[in-house]
Amino acid sequence: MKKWLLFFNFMFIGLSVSTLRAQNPEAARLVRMVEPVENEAGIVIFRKISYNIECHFSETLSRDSAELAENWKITFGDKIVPVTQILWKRTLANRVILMGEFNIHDAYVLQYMQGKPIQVQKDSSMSGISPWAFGRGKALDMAVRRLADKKALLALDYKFNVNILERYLTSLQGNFWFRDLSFNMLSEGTLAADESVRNGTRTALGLATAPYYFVGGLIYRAEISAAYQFETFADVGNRLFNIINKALTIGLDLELPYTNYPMYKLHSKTGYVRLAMPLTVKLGYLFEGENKEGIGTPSRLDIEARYELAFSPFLILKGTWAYSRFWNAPADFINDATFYSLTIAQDLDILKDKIELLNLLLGGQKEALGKHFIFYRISVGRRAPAFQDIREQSFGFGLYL
Amino acid sequence: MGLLLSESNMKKAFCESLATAGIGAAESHGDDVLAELIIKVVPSEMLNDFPSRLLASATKVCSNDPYNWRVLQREPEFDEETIFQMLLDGWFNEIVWP
Repeated sequence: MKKWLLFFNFMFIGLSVSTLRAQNPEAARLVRMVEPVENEAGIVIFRKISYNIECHFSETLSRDSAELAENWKITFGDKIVPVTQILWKRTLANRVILMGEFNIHDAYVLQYMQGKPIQVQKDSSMSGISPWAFGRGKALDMAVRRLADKKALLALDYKFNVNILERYLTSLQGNFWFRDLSFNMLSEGTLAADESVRNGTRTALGLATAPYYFVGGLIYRAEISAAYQFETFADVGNRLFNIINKALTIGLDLELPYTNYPMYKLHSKTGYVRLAMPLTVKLGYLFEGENKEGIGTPSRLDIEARYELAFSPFLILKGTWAYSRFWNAPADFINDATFYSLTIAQDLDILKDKIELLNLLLGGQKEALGKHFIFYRISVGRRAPAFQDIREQSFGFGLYL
Repeated sequence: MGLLLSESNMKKAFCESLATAGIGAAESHGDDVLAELIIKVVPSEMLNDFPSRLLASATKVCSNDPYNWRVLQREPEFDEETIFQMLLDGWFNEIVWP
């Protein structure tokens, strides 16, 4: 109660001041900031994240006014919280950062003597208070394919993933960063009316974390996951989502960033502006599980490598190699399987200027690159989850949402 | 003592941050950064975590020599429509402080 009275008291005083002053801070919020400090050896390291106050103004502030310590007063209850440093810069002169020992759980009242007082607001984004996030990272990839040798047949490839709940862990510490831990869902697969191309679906619910490490001027990313996975496949005459395996799985995804160096050099010369994907290697181990009848399924190791060569807007080449190895597989089942896929893709959005019809089909936004593709794909071999023996060529339309 | 927070220094630091993000599609020609060589399209496989890795890279680059700037821990709102200048003028300008 006392705090509220004090707050309204400040509000009243401040409003009185604001009638005499021209500039009013419109909003303020706590922000997290990494501050560089030198250690004894003179090497710049990262200090623990501190919380500071960022003030937004409707007008630009002069440097003299912003950096004058007497112009600022921050209180928590009846205590004045000292401002240790004031940051102002010419390229963003309508904002000021006030540095001090601010606690994320406290609500402060801020008085700018050149304007009215405001309460420091909590920011719901990563930069602010909440270490939790919901529903981030939603992505849906879809591709409709028509098989070259079975002209009446269409197949749908899809991939959907979302971080249902995410907890931010740490900020950058030296060269290492454990950014977050997330509870997420990933579902991907192929659906078609013909058994020869229905390779089933897999849906995993589980935990994942992605450590980052800086070395040699580049960032390395890995992803470690543990999930419960459902794999489905529809035999002829059966339901679409017929569970053929449900099992615990652990995974490790690795990116090898130097592998994109040739593309980086090529892009630097041609001016083409698509990011060069690094080689990604995925390792996954499925423990013994069971199918929908409760019959045991063998454990297996999946290895997959993907690489993309984006030569130009008119030629994006993607290659995938996958290998699976089973342990204690039934006598009538395969022990291992290999799969290859090669895709040549064309970004449709970059052709909008040249083909008017595409503007009608895809929408007129000129900047929306990388959302629509046409492609030609060759796939050979067996891969998880259904391990159908596939040997196909197909043409298709891909959509990234 | 940090480097002067001028527009040209910011542009250079931003290009280094992009290159450090592990994809390498930014290049600085001395003091003259060629904006047309900078990324526009992020492959869908990388779109989800690209804001995180870009913030990490910017923190790593800008908090160290020769820049020694303070960096707000705020991820960019990034999608396949985001272009270089939008990121530089908006997000990057907001997170680096002297």
